[in-house]
Amino acid sequence: MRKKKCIAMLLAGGQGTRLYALTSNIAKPAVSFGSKYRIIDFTLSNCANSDIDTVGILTQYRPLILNEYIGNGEPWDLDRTDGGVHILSPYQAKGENRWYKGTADAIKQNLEFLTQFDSDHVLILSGDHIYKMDYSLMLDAHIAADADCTIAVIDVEQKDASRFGIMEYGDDMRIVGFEEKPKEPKSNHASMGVYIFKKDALVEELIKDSLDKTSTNDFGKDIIPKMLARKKRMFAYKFKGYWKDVGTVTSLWEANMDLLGSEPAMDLYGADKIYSRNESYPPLYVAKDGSMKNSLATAGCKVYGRVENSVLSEDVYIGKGSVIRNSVIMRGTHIGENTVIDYGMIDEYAHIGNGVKIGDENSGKDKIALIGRGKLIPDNEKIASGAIVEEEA
Amino acid sequence: MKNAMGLIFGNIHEKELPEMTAGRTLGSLPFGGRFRLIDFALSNMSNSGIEKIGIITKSNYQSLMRHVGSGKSWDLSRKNGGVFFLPPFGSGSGGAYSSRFEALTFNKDFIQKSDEKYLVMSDCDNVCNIDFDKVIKFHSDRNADITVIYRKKTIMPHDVKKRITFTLDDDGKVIEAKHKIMPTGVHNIYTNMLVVNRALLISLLSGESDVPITSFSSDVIVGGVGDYAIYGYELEGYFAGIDSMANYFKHSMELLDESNRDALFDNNGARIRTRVRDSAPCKTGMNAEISNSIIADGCKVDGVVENSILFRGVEVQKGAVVRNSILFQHTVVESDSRLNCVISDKDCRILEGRVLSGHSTAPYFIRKGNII
Repeated sequence: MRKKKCIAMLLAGGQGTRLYALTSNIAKPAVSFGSKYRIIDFTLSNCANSDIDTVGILTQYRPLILNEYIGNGEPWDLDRTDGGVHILSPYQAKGENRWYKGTADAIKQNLEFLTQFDSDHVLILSGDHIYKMDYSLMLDAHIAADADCTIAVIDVEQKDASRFGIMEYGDDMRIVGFEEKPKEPKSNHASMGVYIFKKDALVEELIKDSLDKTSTNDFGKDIIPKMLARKKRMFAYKFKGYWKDVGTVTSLWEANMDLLGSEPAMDLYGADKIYSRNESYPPLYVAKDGSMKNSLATAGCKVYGRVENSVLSEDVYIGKGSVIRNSVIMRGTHIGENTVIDYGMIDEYAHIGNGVKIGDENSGKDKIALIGRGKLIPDNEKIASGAIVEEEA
Repeated sequence: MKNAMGLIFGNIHEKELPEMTAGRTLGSLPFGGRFRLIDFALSNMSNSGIEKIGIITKSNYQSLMRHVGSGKSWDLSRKNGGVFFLPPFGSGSGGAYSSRFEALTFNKDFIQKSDEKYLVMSDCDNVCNIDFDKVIKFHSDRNADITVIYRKKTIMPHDVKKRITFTLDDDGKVIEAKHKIMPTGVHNIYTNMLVVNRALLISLLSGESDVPITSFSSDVIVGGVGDYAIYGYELEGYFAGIDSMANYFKHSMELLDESNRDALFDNNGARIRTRVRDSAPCKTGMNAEISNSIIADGCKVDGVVENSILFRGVEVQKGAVVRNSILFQHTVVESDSRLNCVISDKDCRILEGRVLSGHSTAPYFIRKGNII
C-alpha cells in the first residue's frame, strides 16, 4: 500500500438535539443545507479539495440516510481503490457491546482502521460545520512545527466565546492554555474541532485515555487538556474565513441566510467547489406569476408563488399565490396555494396544505417555526412563529 | 441474459443544424436547461433494462465522449455490457460512413459479438420518454422481424416534407410504407426508433438479402414490407425530433409547459438522467424578475428573464432583459442589454446595453465564445 501523509476521521455520530424536529430521524450531518447540499458535504468537499483521499466516517445516531447518502463516496471523488470513504459504525466485540461513548472513544474503537493505513498524521473532523478550508495548509504548518497536535482556531466574538473550547497561545502559536466552554473565557480563540495529530502520538493518547476510568473519552474535555498538562508540542493554526457551527435552529437558519445577497458571507460560487450527491431533475422552473428574489433554488423546484430571501432545496414545489419569506424549505417539500411562510424551516418531504400560515412577518431568527420531516399540515392551519411541529415519537 | 441491446446514432441530422453542431455531435447538443439530446435515448434504454449500448459516431465526438464518460450517470457502467463508443474504424476503404446502413455494416462485429435476441435502434435527437420493454413485448408477441415505432401527427401546410409513413392493419402489421412527400393531414410517421431481431440484422449486414441494400430506411423498412414481418408500435405522449434550429427553438419552448415537462422527464418514475455537474444552486438577486422560465444551477440572475431557458452558469445582470431566449452554459448578459428570440452557444458575452432580436421561426444565433 502506498504511504499516505494524512488520513481523516470524521465524527458524524452526533444526534444534534438542539435541532429538534430536524434530527428526529436523521443524523445532524445529513440535514439539508444551502439548497443543494447536506451539512456533511462541506467537510467531505474540503477533504477532496485538500488532497485527502482516505476518510473514516464515524456514525452512530440514525445512520440510515447518512450512510445511503455517502454511499461509495463518488460525489466527493472519494471512491478510491486505496483509501476512499469508509463508514465506521459501532460494532459488537467479544464480550462487549460498545456504543461510542465520546469523540475520543469513537476513534479509539477504530484504531484497527486507523493503523491499517500507513499514514504519518491523522486529521480529526466533525461533520456539523459549514466552512471551506484547505486542510493541506494546516498540515504543512503542523509538520513545520513538528507538532504532536495542531488545533485549528478561529477568533469568535468575545460574547460567544463561552460556547467554545477556548485556547491561549503565544506568538510562536504554541498553545499554553485550553478550556472547554469556560464561564470566563481568557481569549476569543475558539477551537473549530479540527485537529491534526501525529498518528503515533494520537494512538498513545487514546490508549492512555481509555484506561482512565474517570475520563469522558472526549477530545475537548479529556485528550487535549491531558496532552497540554504533559507539555506535548501543541500548536494553534489560525483559520480566517467563514466558519459556522450549525448546531442550533437559529444558527442553521442563519447559515442558510449567509449564502444570500450580492456579497454573501459564504460564497458557494468561488473556487473550491462544494460537491454533493444530486439527482437529474429538470432545472428550476419559475412560472408566469411566480417570482424569486434574493433566493437560492435548484433542480426539480417549481415556483408558482413568490419567494423572497429564502433557500429552496431540490424538488420543492411552491403553489400559486403562496408567499415564502426568510425561510428554508428542504428537499421534496410541497407547499400548496395561498400559503404564507415567514421565518420558517420546513424539513424534507413535508406537505403543507392551502391557505396555511406559518410564522410571522415580524418574527426573527430566534423564533423560527420548525416543521418536521414528512409532516402533513392540513389546509388553513395556523402555526405560530417559533413553534415546533413534528411526528410524535 | 438480457434480451435486448441498444444502438444510438450519435451524428444524425447534423447538416440540418450546421451552426449548432459546428463543434459537437447532435447528441451532445444542450437541451432543456441541463440535458443533452443523447440523454433521452440513453435514459430510455437504461430505464427499459437495456445494459449494452453502442453509440455510433463519426465526427466531432469529443464533447459526446466527455458527456457520456463511463455511462455511470445512466447506471450503464457495467461489468457485462455498458456503453461502447463506435467511432469509424479504419478498414482500408477509408473515410467515415455516409449512410445508416454503412455505419451498421462497419459495426457488424460489435453486433455479432453480442448474444441478445433483439436490438433497439434510436437516433440521438429523439426527445421522448418511451419504455422500450413494452415495444419488445409487442414485437415478440407478434413474432415480428422488425417493429418500427411511429406516432400519429397532423401535418400542417408549412410542414410538408419527405417522410416515412406507414399504413397498418388491425394487429399493427405494416401493410404499406412510403418514403415521400406526404400531403397535409394525419399520418403515422416513423420516429427513427425500431426493434429488430439481431439475427436478421446480421444476415442483412452480411449481404444475405436478395436485393442490394444501400439505405436502411428505404431498402429494409420501406422496401422490405413484403419480405419481412414488420409491425408498427405507436408512441403516445410527448415526442420531438430536433432537425432544424427553428424546431430546436420551438421544442425547447414547449418545455415551459408543465405538462410537457412532466410527461418528458418523469414518466411514472422513468426519469431522464444526465451527467450531474457540481454547480452551486441558482441564485437570484433583489432585482430579479423571472417568469415562465427554466433556470439551471449555477445561474446568477439579477435582471428580467421571461419565457426563456438558461443553462448552467448563465449570468443575467441587473437591468438586463432576456425574453424568449435560450442561453447555453456560461453566457453572460451584461446590464441594460435586451435579448429577444436569441440562442447563444456556450461562453458568449453580451456586453452592456446591446439589443439583439430574432424571430421564433428564425432565432438570432450567437456562436460559441462570441462577444457581442
